[in-house]
Amino acid sequence: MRWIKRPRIAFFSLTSCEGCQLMVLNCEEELRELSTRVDVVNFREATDLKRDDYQVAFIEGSVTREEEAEKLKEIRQRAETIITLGACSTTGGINALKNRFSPEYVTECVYGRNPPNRLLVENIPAMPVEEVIEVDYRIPGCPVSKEEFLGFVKALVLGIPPGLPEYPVCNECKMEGNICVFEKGVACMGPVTRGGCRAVCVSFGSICWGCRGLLDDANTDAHRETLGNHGLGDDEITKRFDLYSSFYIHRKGRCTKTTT
Amino acid sequence: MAGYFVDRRGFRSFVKGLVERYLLYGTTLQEGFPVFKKIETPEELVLSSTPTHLSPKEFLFPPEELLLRFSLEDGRGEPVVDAPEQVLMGLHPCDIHAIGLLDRVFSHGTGDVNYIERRRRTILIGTECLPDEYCFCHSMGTMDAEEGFDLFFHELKRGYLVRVGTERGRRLLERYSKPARADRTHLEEMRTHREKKLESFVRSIYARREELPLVYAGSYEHPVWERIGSRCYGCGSCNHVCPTCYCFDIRDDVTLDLKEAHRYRVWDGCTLEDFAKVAGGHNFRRHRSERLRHRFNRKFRYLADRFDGLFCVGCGRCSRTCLVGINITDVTNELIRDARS
Amino acid sequence: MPQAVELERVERLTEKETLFAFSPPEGFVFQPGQFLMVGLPGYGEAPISISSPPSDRKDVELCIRRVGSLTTILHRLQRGDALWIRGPFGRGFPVEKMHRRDILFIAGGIGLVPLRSLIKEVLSSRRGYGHLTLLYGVKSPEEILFEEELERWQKEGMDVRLTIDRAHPGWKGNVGVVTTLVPRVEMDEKNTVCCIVGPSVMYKYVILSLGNRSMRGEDIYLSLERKMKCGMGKCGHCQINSIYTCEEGPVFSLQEIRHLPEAI
Repeated sequence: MRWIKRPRIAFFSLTSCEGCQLMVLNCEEELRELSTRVDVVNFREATDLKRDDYQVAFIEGSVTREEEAEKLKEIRQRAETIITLGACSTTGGINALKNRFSPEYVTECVYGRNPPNRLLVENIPAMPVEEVIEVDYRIPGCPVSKEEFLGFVKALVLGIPPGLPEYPVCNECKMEGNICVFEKGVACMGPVTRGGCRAVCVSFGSICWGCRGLLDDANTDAHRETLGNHGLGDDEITKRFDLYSSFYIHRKGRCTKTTT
Repeated sequence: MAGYFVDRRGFRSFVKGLVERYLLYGTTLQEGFPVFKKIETPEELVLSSTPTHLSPKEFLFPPEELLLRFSLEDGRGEPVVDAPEQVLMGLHPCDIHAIGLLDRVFSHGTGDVNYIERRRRTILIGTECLPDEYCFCHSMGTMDAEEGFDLFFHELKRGYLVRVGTERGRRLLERYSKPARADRTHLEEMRTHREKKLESFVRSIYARREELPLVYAGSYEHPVWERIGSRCYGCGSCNHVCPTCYCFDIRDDVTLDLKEAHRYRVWDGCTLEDFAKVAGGHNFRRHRSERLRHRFNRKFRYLADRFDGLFCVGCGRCSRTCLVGINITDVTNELIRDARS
Repeated sequence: MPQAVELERVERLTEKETLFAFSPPEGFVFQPGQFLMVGLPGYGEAPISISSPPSDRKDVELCIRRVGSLTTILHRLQRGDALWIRGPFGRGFPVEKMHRRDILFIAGGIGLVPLRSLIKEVLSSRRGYGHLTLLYGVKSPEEILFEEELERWQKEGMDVRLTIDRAHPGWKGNVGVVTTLVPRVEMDEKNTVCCIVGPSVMYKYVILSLGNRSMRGEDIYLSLERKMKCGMGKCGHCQINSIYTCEEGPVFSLQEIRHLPEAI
């Protein structure tokens, strides 16, 4: 397989909890092997190296400051391939919840009425990376799944375009042998959320919160009804959809899209 | 019918024998719901009168299964067949009928070595049941299992009436319990239970099952497909809980050290969006309504000729799992009603 | 279990299509129109039609278009590399039913690939058949496959007619989709067998135009493309209503699939 590549990769972090980078470092058993397949040339959480000759840039976090947008444009010029890492950079994530309020109000909530340095707290509405630059591939999730991240790296090494599943979380949830949380009287976002996580949250006793974002073909109308039938009020339903997908729901009106 | 009687003590000793000597999968309760799980102590086995939410097909046709292993260093490949000797206990008649159908599927044409090997080394033990609010096996001819099992247990007041399906089953029963010949009162008690079962169904299909392929053939353009298609998530749950759905995807993976490549088979479902999508991007069943119609037709029509039998065994699992209330008996009865009017 | 074959020839045909050739493994017997599951460990498999005729005992040729991740990698293979194959699978064209008859071949785009196997088979015993016509439509001139062979076939006694979908600078031939050529073909409908391979959208219109020529369903053969994973009638992806394309097809007579709403 003479086409095997050894890409130079970099990790960049925008507004986020940096939990997705932590998931990368969490690939403990695989890290050594990983370092023989790729050259990590820029990764603040792991190395002092700060080289700009990367081919692949993994970007974590959503854009909430003008400087971040500028930084992204710079990265786009240098990288051959841009891959978003996690919910914030892929869908805007939880950060986009603030977009419902005015920037002044949001700033005040976090920093109080008289922040020490206005320049440091200035922010714009949160958005996913693809709103600023062209994105080649996306790894959703809050945080990303270790297996999926490694799968993407392998695809880059093998020279094939990585892809995401087009099925909901329920598909893998059934294969994992879980009792459906709706049977237990609890509501979940699995039926409209992009799979690929092996339903890890349900498997460990929680529910799906929808961190991987809505499927392109999600039947959101049906899901609003299902959630309603399971005791959720309109407000609560909107909150469930908004938690990870508010940017697209409010920007693109995706919540109403239905094909039969 | 020749049958055996095993008292409760004999039953306990039988289960103990299985646990000690075999890889045993049986029914138990998980968070209060009946499931098939690996049974490691006799107490864990809890026979369930109602169907498990997931079917036992996973023990013969696992959700993910390694088929081939390739060495990328020397360019050789080898098939992988992982077929442990195992016992499945707590199978209801619908499950036994379903396994019979899977046997036909996987031995059709070029047989599937992985399934056939695993099946050959699997002992099937049935237990009697009662319908839940979704069951309709009495309409599908699958309420009773006359064959397709090694042993079948009918619970009685003081023990179990055991029907023997194979010599292998008889030996197993004799080795781990002290079976007596069943007498007339045992058989009578079994028949009474059967009558009670027959009276307990709340769902039925209002046509003879021989008519169903024709009913479905005449309903291709029925408005029900659009209607349920607009509610469907396309989530594949009905496919996965179904004991006779057997479609699969094949996927490759490479180990990170690039030394080995693996080829897997993974459950797939005809209700999922990209099931019929080809590499160029064309999707032969783009709409959920088309995919649901395909699934229902597979159950009641498409596979009937090929495998000499309907592929619905009336377990009702798909109706239970469907979060938007698409019920297989309601849909079928609507088609029957409109076919007759 | 797939088997590895060594590529003896790799020829770039167009920007998107590459031809791969290998020696037939022992006992390799096939009909024109049958397919192989072709793959590479770690990258998966895809159904690929055989493009060479059974009468060619030296080479098995596969013409592969780059459409997905597997075929992208296949395009990087070179002479001497291994390719993993299973098959042949399915049912091909019934060559025996075509003896002494006229044959009208209709190919759209990459549909020429499976048809080439049949065409070369027929031409290898040219005298056994009547009038031969090929209608071949592509989007633009650079997508024409096997251009030199088309000329050779013409010389060997086949009426070859090309068309491109839209006018193109420098193109002097026919313009319009391949269907537009059908009414202009001179043929004896009762003694003609028609073999069609092309994208799924093409079939409906071609069949309509042949219907206008009062061709009978049992004399029209077509090859249907579907997703395939196992090639053995199990995985379910290739199902067209009740039939499995990988076993009962990919070649069907129109008569056989007319009642299947999902077929065309």
